Formats: sequence, structure tokens, C-alpha cells
Amino acid sequence: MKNIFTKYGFMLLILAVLVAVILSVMTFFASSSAAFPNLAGIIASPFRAASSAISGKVSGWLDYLTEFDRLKEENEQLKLQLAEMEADIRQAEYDRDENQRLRELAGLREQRRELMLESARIVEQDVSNWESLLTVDKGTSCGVAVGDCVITEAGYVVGVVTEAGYNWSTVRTILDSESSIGAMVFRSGATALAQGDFALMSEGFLTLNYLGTDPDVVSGDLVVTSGLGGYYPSQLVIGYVDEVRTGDDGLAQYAIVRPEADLSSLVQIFIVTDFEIVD
Amino acid sequence: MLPKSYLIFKWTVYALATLLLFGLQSLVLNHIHIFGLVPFLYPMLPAVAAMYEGSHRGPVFALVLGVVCDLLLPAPFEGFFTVIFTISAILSAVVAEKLISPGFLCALTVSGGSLLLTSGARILIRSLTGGGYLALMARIAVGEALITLPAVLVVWPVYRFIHDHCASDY
Repeated sequence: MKNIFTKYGFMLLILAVLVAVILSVMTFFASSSAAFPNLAGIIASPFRAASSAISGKVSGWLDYLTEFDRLKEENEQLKLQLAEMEADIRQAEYDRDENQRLRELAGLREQRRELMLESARIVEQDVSNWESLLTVDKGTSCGVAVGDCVITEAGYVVGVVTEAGYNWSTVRTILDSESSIGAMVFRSGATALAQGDFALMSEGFLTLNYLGTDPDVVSGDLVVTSGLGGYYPSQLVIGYVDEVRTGDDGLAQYAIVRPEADLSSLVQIFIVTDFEIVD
Repeated sequence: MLPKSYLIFKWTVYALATLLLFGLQSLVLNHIHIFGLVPFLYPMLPAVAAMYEGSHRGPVFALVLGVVCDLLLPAPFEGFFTVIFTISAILSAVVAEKLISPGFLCALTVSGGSLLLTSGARILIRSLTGGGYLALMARIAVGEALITLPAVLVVWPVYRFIHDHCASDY
């Protein structure tokens, strides 16, 4: 061992540890992103954007060559789905008017749901087998802050901003093992915690924990954000229950949830910078 | 003793080559999924560089590279890559100086070692912070090393070229 780590080697190792401590301290005391990581992110931004643009172009060409038939078929299915949804919208408009009338009769406050959104492009994805993170091209200069909820254009939950630089941000997706978000089973109203799981991360699933011993949750149930605590907006779609399992203790149950957002093929996301919901 | 201008030139070329290899990771490797895993090139770079540059300059390069990676990549804690890459470079230089002479076989050995050291440190930290799934994490570590090792065929010639030509061209 003495031969391996010479005096010079030890000095370098101490220097490396010192650098690590300085970086950690700077991050600990920074509110959004520490100065050096922020600067590094700003410098790397054009490279990330260029890399994202090139890989997007290449995968576009490859998709055109390999997925033409599949996309054609999907287009036909989507046309049918659109027709069904148009009928649903007509019904929803009728229901909304009725709801409005009934609310006025009952003297209830008007429901309001306002989300302040900031659109952002994903410039880096899948950089590690150990985490599920995304880097996007918007940061504190656009009002993005740590803890902001991130959704798709359809309102499906993607994750939460964990680091915000001047013109970049890191988003921890709902699949990441350190991710945790207040959730609710839409049908029964049962509240729980949607958490990422390391074993399920690569399969594209997450878990719904703290459901209790006799939860009202079945396969196929829609899971949405609970909005409890006011950290994230309520009623944002997380996914659908795939399976209900019993924990190792044989008592508590938990559910496996398939996220509705297709996290592997995301290009653009929306960051909820502020929200106001009156139910 | 080599003149300062030579050292600056050589390490500038090393930096540019490393930037290109970062591009390889970002543009190509990040989009390749083999058995659900993505190759992770970065731990290979300080190991192969230290194999050629020895126990003095190699670890310094690794330390700088580690700082860059810590600033840009997600890690279990700030400074993770700085510490791990420095240790990896010191060990790689020792392997090259005492066990296997610098070349393809040595590059393969030190790269594998560096990849496993990085993953091993991640597993240790995850285990200490309460994360389970030890067998799964070990499988990911070995899988990640196996799918990344073929990239030695790119990294090793690039760094060998710089090491050989920057010295002889001066």
C-alpha cells in the first residue's frame, strides 16, 4: 500500500477530497445552484443544445425510415380517438354549464385552475444508469425554481426541478428512486405517496406507497397528484395502477404505477412556475 | 525536464480529445441501450490517460476531469467524481508502471477497474444511505462495465496517439 500511494499520491488525494468538500459546501449554501455548477451549466448549454439538435435530427431520420408503417397505423387510431373525444368534449361542455348553474344555485365559489407554465426543451437525457434525470434549457432567468413541478403538454407529471441554473435546470423524473410526490387515487380519493423505486426504474414503473392495510385501489385506477401541502398543483395525471401488491410485512399494500408520460421520448416539457387552484 | 510550452500544447490536445470523447458519450452512447443500460465512458478516461502519463501527471488530469464531471453530471455527492477519478488514476498508473506495460491489454484492465471502482463507490454510498437492492446494483455495475469496455477501442488509440505524437513531434 505504501508503494501504491506515494507522498505525492496522498497529497493529490487530499486535494481531491478538499475540492469535493468545497463543492459540497457551496452546493449546501446555494439556494438554487452553486456558482461553479451554474457557470459550468451555462458554458455547457450551447454544447448540450447542439448535441440535442443533432441527435434529434438523426433519430428523426431513423424514425422516418423504420417507423413509417407504425406511425401510419397510429395516425388512423388517433383519428378514431379524436372523434370519440370530440363527443366527450360536447358532453363536458353541457356538464360544465350545468355545474355552473348548480354552483350559482348553491352559492359556491367558482372553480379556478390557473397554472403558470414555462415551456422548455430537453437537452440531455439518460446520462446515468443510476438516476433518472433530465436537463432542460430554461433556468432562473425564466422564473424556474427548485421544487417546481414539470409536466407534459397533456398535463402528465414528468418530475420536479431539483437544480436550477441561470439558463438550465435539472429535472428529477418521477421514476428516480429519490423522487416522491403526494398522490391520490382518482376514483376512491385514497391518498398516498408516489415514489420512484430503484428496481422498477429501468422498467419504467413507480410505486404508490402508504396506502394502508385495506386500500380502495385496483388495477387500472387513475393516479393524480393530491396537491396536499400546496407544493404541487392537484389533479395532474401521474399514471395508472398496473398492479396492487402486498409489502414484505404481509400487511401494508402498495401499487405499481405505470406513468402516463412517456419519459423516454420526451422532447419538450412545461415547468409549472406558479399555480392557483380553487376547488 | 520538458519545456512549459510543450506541456501546455500536450495538455491542450488532451483536453480537446477529451471534449470529443464527451461528445461521443453525449451524441452516441447516451442513445444506445443494451439490456436497458447505457454505456458510461467517463471513468475510462482518467484511467487510460494515467496509464500513459504516469503517477504524477495522470492523477492531476483525473482530478481536473473529475471536477468537470462533478459540475456537469449527476453524482451521489458533490465531488464524487473528483475523488474517485483521482484514486482510479493513481491505481491505473501503478498498474501500468508495475504490472502490465502500457498498451491495449493494460488500457482494458485499468478501464474495467475504473468503471467498477466508480460503480462500487456508488453502491457503497447507496447502501450506507439506506438503499437496498444490492444484487441488482451489482448487476448494473457489472453490466455497465461490460457494455462500456468496447469503447476502449476508441479511447485507447486517441490517448496513445496524443501521448506518442505530442512527444515525438516536439
